[in-house]
Amino acid sequence: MKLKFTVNRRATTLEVTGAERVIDLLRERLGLVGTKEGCGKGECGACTVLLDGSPVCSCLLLSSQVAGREITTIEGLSEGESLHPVQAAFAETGAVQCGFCTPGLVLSSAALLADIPAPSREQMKRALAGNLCRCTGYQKIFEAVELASRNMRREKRRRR
Amino acid sequence: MPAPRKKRTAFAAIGTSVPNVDAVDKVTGRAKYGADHDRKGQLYGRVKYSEHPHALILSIDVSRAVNLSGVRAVLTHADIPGENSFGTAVPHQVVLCSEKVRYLGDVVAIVAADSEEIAAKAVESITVKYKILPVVSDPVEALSPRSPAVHAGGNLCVHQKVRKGDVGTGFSQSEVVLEREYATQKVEHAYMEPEAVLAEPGENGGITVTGSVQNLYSIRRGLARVLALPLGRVRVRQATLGGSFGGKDEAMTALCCRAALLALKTGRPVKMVNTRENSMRESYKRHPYRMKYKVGADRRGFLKAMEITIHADAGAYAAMSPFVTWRSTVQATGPYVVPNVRTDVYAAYTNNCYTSAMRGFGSPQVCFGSESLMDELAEKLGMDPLEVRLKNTLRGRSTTATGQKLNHTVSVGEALLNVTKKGRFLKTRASNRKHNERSHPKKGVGISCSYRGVSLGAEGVDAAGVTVSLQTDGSVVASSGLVDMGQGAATTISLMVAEELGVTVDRIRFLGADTSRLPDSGPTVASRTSFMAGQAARRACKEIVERIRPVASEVLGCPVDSLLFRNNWVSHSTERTRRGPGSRKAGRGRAGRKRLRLGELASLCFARGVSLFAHGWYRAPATSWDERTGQGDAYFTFVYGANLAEVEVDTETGTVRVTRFVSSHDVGRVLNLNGARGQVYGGVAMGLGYALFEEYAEQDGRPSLENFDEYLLPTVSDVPETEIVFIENPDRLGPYGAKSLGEPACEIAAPAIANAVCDALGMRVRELPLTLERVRLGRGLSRKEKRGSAGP
Amino acid sequence: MREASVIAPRSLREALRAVGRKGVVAVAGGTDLLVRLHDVAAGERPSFLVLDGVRTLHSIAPRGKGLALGPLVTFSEIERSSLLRTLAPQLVEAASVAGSVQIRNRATLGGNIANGSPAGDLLPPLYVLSARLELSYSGGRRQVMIEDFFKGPGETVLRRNELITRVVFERSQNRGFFLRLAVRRALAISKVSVAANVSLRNGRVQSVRIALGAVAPTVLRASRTEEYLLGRELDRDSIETACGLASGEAAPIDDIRSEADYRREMVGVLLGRGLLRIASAR
Repeated sequence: MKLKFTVNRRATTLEVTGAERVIDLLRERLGLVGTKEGCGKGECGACTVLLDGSPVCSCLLLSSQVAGREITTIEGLSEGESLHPVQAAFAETGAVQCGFCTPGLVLSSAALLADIPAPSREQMKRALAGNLCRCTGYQKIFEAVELASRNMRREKRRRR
Repeated sequence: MPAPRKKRTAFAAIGTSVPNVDAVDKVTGRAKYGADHDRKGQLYGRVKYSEHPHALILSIDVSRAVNLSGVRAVLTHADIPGENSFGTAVPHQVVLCSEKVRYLGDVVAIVAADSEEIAAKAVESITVKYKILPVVSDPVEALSPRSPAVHAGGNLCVHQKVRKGDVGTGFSQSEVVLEREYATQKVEHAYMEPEAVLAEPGENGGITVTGSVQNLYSIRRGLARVLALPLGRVRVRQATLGGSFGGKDEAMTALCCRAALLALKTGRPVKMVNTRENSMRESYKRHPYRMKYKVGADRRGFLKAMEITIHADAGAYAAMSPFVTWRSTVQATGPYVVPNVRTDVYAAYTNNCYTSAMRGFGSPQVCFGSESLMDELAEKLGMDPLEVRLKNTLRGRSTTATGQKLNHTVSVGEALLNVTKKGRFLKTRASNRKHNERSHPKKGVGISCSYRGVSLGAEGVDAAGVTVSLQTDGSVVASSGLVDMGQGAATTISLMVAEELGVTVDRIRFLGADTSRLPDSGPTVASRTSFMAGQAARRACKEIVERIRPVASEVLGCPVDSLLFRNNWVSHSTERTRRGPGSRKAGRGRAGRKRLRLGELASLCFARGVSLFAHGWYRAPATSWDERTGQGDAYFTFVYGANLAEVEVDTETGTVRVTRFVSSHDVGRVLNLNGARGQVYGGVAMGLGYALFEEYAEQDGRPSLENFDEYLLPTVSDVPETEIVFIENPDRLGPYGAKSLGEPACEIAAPAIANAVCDALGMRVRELPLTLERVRLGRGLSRKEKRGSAGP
Repeated sequence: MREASVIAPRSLREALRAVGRKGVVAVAGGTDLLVRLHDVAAGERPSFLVLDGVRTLHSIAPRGKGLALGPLVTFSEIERSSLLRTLAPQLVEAASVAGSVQIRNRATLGGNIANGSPAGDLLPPLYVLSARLELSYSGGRRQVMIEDFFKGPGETVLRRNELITRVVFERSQNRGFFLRLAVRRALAISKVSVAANVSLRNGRVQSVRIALGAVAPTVLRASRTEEYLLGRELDRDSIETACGLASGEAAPIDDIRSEADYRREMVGVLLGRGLLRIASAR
């Protein structure tokens, strides 16, 4: 079948069976290897992408389920060379160690901040519980989300 | 060379908080991990696992697999050009089993095919006939003479011992004697990135493997041995590593060997990526320990004797078991002065998944034992846990259990005071008691402490190399034989290079490790990287500085010893260069110049044929060990730490919530504050998983779980707020006084939590993990069925 | 992946025509199905009937005094629905503690039902809300009460040519809860769960429904406990007796996730906590 969907703001058409997992489509057909596979069962969140802005596990998604929809991967979060505020904050606070969980965590955090601009720690915990990280103990991930939140709100005020 | 410094504030880069040098690549998805490497025309490799934990192989039939369309190679033991085994301590770990399988992760055949699917199909079509043997699953029973043998030489993998003084005399002088048994479970490293490798045949008949490797040189040795190639034709390159924690060594050697065999056979690149299930099934784990402790003390609480017997489950292969258990013997008593010690650690072969290095390396187990014991002793003596510890902790010039006299600042007491002060230990304990009388959930607070030998110690050769290459524009390329696996080594080594050369960190490019570029630096283990690679990096930098200083001195017209290298500039040290030279142009003819860009200096040097490249090599100070008595200077220096945990226990359901954590570690010197904090937070979280939920359960050699749906790691919702108090007692041997942190941060978290839980319960639980069932019912899960009727 | 075919209907009619075909498996969110397929490493892939495109299966609408939900309503949609928060708080609570955000964004009500796991978090609430399932096939449909839908773990009365097309239930009585126990605070399958739907009049239990999850081959109604509670005041004694009865009604097993006796005891603990909450909210 012909699959039409949007990937990182770009209209994309691919010939697919419809039964591929979206993660394989992204990594193998589109070369978007920033999306990682850690478990293949939706438990670790390393494969998180945004589907119409909401985080989902791309390892539990069939290509035919994204027809007509919009996918954002880590490669598409920033525009051009400048980092998305969440990416910048993750780098700055040291919320990145081995980095394998980072694309998923950054996307989940970006979705959270799009929804709740100034989340509480409890809200962060709920939003990020689907992204396992073995290195950081999560403390600096809180700090990163808080920093990104401050920077994004400041930027928003400045624009007004 | 920077001017002599009196105070540590004089450091330019050391001790600052900098983002990891690879952070931008990682937040943008540009970093390339093992599975992200692809080559044109690559094939996909798959393994055929053993179907039994213990069996003789009668026949292997690959004929159907060979004939499948798209299958390019099917290999068995008969196709191995060199030795069919590898291993650092005992080279008996089999690449492709020929006569016998010893655990479910053993591999009997491998396949390379055009696609993953074809490879999977081919693997399924291979039939192996077995003669099933009785399964050895208990490490204590394994040592009985009646037990079936996993290896021809019997099931004793290693026996490590310590004999100090005479425990008989010690116990006879004791007024209080306690005997207790503790047990820890088998756990998985659970690095987020499953193992992955790409093997490419080289033009010269050699092989290049690129993948998620932790210890490049041991993997290269394994490859050379199995492929019968000279080391020089085997190249191992590290891809960005998605976590390791000690876990990507032997498991990766096996994977690399298999991929390389397929690549050499087919003449094409072969990619092998483990699923999480494969990784869980095959990759080694942390040893489960069964520990018997007998301790004697006088009425005032001073320790007189300790007798410790430990059985460790080595699983199917030796791997690092001899070294892991050796560290256990050194640390088994905890950081206390014990005049009479007798410790025996036995590791036994079984048909369980094999065990080897994992963050802590034989310490998390004995830390749980000794720290639970100290709490029990305190209770028996009617003292509080802090008092009994402070009475017995090692001090300067104390002698350790292995007879080593400590000749540096011993700060275990300081660490204990830090955490108990910050956590208001005694007050909290008292107020919890009152709270628990009438309220629910119950509250508890617990402490723990440890001492830990830095680097490999008497375990093995301890040396490492780093190369530094100053470029003619003043940028720097550095490369280390010890690797970054997510712990931040690249950043820490870069910081040291920055300090020595007076460049800013952004000017340094740290290259991924490659065995063809650097000499064998031993393994990236034992929290030795900052120390060993750091010292090597400093030597390399100093050598370069020595060579370029005369040129700078000539150009600037000032004496060699008054030059200051800082912020990418070289200046006369009387000049203030802290914030750089601003826009002022610094060119006033040779002798009149006051400062010079490092890049300009490098260019000048290059033009004069001065080498801007140096290789630094650092060999650790000597250690000693007498195997007969288990006495000696086990490590050249030690680190000290203490943890405090507060918990809430829902005693009706057994649910434990860690509400607060305080961690204090003497690291000698904080090199990279960001990295150091990350090590502590991560270590605490890993210790929390060890304390509360993680368990790689096996029954008769068969794992009861295979993925993260049942092997539960802490999520963001489970971790407590953690406060850190670093202690900096600079070590005379360490780079800028630094020692180590990665493992100490992890080893005592679980016992602090366990002690807190027991404090809340008013009952001792002597086995990890403290699952809801164990806390509520006092016993663990039998995990009888893989999935029961209550499962999905 | 092998040449698996995919059918992606735009209408219910099309979907119902396809569902009976050999080797066709209906996919709602896919979060359970793809996990199961992941476990079968190299097996033949079925044909997928991808239901996403059938708009009518996504609705949340009032029906009579209750509600009618399409089977493709996701956990996240349940979690965020203000209508459901008022009318079926147990269901909202269950939807909001299950899995992770990523899973809740895809996992569906219909999938949770069809999957038939006794640990399925939405099931105990549906039991206490007396949910009725509309099962459709090409040319007709039938209604099945949720309690009659499950035959065992993973086994249901759904025929090969049928789809769950609607889930209808009453609004909750004035008191209700959903409580569960899991190892971790997030992203974990329940060891035990308890849902209840209670109405009190003049301090006495006028009606009550209690359902227990993960303690038997299917979700279980604690009918003897319900019977006992009817007409009684909720006080320490009656709650204690009810907890004991409910524990006795559970028929749990030992498995990888927990132990039978622990589960049985926890049924009582969770029920007690829920009932106490109701009693003290009076």
